[in-house]
Amino acid sequence: MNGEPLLAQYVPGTGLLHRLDARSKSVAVALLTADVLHASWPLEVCGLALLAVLGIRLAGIGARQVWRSLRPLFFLVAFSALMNLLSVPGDPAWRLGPLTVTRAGLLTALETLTRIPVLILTASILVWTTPPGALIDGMTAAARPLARLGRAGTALQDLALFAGLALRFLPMVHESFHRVRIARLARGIDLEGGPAWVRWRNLAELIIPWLIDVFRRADAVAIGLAARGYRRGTVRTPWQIRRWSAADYLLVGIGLLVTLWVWRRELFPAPPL
Amino acid sequence: MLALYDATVVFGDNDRSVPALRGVRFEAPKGQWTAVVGRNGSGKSTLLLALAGMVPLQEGVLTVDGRPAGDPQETVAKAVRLVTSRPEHQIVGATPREDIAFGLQNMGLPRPEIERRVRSALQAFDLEPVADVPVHRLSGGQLQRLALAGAWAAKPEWILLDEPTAMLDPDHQDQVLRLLDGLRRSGTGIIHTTHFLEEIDWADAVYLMEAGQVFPLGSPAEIRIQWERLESAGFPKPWKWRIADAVRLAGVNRPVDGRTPWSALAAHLAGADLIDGPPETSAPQAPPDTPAAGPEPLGPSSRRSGARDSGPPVAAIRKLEVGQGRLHVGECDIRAGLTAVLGASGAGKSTFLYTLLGLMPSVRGVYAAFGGEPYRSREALARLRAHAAMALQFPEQQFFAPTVYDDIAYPLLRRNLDPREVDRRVRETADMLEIESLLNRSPFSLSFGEQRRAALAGVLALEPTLAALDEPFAGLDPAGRAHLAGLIREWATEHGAAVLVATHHIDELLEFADEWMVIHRSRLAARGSLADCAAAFRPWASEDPEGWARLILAAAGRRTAVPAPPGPSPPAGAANRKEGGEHP
Ligand SMILES: Nc1ncnc2c1ncn2[C@@H]1O[C@H](COP(=O)(O)OP(=O)(O)OP(=O)(O)O)[C@@H](O)[C@H]1O
Ligand SMILES: [Mg+2]
Repeated sequence: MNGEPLLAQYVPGTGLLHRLDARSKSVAVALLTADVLHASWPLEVCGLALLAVLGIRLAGIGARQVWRSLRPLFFLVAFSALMNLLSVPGDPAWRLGPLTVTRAGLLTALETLTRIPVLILTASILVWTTPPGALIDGMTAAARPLARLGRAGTALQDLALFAGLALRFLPMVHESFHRVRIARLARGIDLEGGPAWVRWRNLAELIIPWLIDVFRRADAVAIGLAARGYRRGTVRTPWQIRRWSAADYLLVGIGLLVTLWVWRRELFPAPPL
Repeated sequence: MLALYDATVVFGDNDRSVPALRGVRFEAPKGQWTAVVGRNGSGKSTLLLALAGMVPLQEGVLTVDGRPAGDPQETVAKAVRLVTSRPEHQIVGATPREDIAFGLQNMGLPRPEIERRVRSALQAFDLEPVADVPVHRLSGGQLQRLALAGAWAAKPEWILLDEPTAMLDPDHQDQVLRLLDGLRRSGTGIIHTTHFLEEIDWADAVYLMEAGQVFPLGSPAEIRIQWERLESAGFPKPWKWRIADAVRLAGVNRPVDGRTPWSALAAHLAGADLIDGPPETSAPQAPPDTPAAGPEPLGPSSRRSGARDSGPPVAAIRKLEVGQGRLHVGECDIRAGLTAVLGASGAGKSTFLYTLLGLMPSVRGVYAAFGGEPYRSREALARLRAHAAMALQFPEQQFFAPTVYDDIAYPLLRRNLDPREVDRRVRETADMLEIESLLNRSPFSLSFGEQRRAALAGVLALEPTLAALDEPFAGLDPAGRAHLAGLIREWATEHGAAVLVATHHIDELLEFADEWMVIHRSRLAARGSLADCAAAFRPWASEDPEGWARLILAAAGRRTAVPAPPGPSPPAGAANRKEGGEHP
């Protein structure tokens, strides 16, 4: 089937970022996403955007792939930008019938249109360049000292595993929806024609069979996991972890420096005069 | 010895809690191959789960080498690995390398050891070329091998396999069985359930399951002698065995059985001058026409003539390219009757059916059906949708309505048909597929075979002129397959419709198909009668010798002297129902 997954999937490669350890990438990306949320608009956000673009180039991800990944979210972002555009109060800039666009609204909309994509891109770089297993193992390794302490530690490991598995099975969930759709078409049910409300109803009617299918598969996966010798609370060997190279330290260093810069006012408040 | 004694398993459904295992005694020695056969729902999967310590036993014990498996079941977890029937649900890594490591990480092995075992598993199961390919891009055969590799890498003493060949075409089936044979020789115990009876020739001991009970049948040789036991349990003799019998009767002095490759069986019969020789030794174009002799016909007892009187085609294809080279079809007319679409997995059978249904996004060339070109005009596409329908593989996975009746009626109601007409169609179709007594049940409560028939009814109730069924026999037991094939044949005749059935296995449709198509490496390579197909497929014989051997064996069986009985005459209404379908 044409089931190339859209979102948050590993893209095999051998670029610099692919070769780094999952832990250094996770730390850097965690820092940078916090920075994107906090950065002032427009200069700092644009600077972080540049950084994200640089990262994508380093990862060797093509523009097409980037667009394909963002497309499903694009409408969401555009929609929220539109809502901002029309709802933020302030000095009216233009009037179009009952709609008023304010300067402040325009700025907020522009901000939404930049900040959220930068956020998504930054986080995506991690999943594009790191197989889910490596992410799981990275988190497992980080949580390992805790695992020796008991319950809470192993619970953290299980959590890491399930987060990783969710990524792994995303294509399956996507494929499942695709199959439900095709099965409907194959039974002569037109999903495309008709006025908008009919199409929405058609879409809504796909959801129940889709959920049934996803739950059925989740059951099967649970049995599959047990068959692979996984029990809750198993202390697993982290496998895909690497000794940190200079590049790993450099990456975390950059992340720290950027963070220091973005949070400079909070970290080093100007002494009151 | 991995063993169950007096084991009873009841699934906790208080209103209809029938035990899935009843007082089972089962013993699997190390280093031996134990095969388990039984009809759908007889409890084979449950038996494997019990042996893997994955379902609690209401009664009885599970022992490993004579010691009862303890409560945390450490012993079982170490000694036994289960490969469930759908590999995609137990493959948890994003790539084969990651996936094999997953099981080893669970065992807490040190990293260098994991590294070493992953490497040797990739090598042993021929997965090195795809070691870092995302698993959703692997073929069914590769997934199955990966699931096996994951189990093997854990170095268990027993590997339990639930229908490991169900999703595979006969060539990959052979490959997987050969791998298992290697494992047995290295001392691993194999326990394997199957719906393909010829596979039991690989086993040392065979068990039959019936309604939760297990009966030892002895060795494959003993089973041949007391065949009645299996026959009374509803198992027809596998086609491969009948061909092996023909080889023996032809006086070929070589051991042949269910393990013998198809190409070897064909070569033996060719050596005895019963069928044409392998392609190297004969002219590429000559259609095979030496009729096969031998006391028992190779093919089924009743057969229809391969050639078909040509009515107007329901649909026609001229020089079609689908996707970017996903499928090429030169020239092909789809006519009323039952057409079997053969081909290895990944050859493009499903793509072919999707194409006929107007479901492919990009198509170049001519596809004409119902008086228009569905890929060129929306109007024609709508007409195609109204007259064609398809059942995807595992159609029962699409159930969603509270009753079987509602599920079948759903697309009919969506077409705004008169409720009385809807009722008529639902009941008639249910009657034909022998599920009329189940219409008010929840589809989720049916047995596997019933579910399959109910799901197919949901497609056939549309009374399509062009019906496509993708692998309708997958996962059914042998009796269920034969039964369903007969029902589909009957439906096709009654409705005068064109029914295309994609399948891995020739033998299921030997008695029933009017026409055959072979898809080979994204190309419609041959079509017509079996003999036509065998002749047309000859140029590709060296690329797929096993596939070619099956074709030529089937063709030989069909052309044995007995004339075909006249098929049921088409009903009067059939001609009127056929719409459009002019040549482009
Ligand atoms: N999780 C479950 N909950 C309730 N009933 C179950 C469950 N699993 C199996 N059963 C029931 O137990 C019986 C045996 O099922 P099982 O799957 O073991 O049969 P099988 O021989 O493997 O069938 P198939 O050939 O279709 O794979 C059936 O009646 C089935 O409906
Ligand atoms: Mg089963």
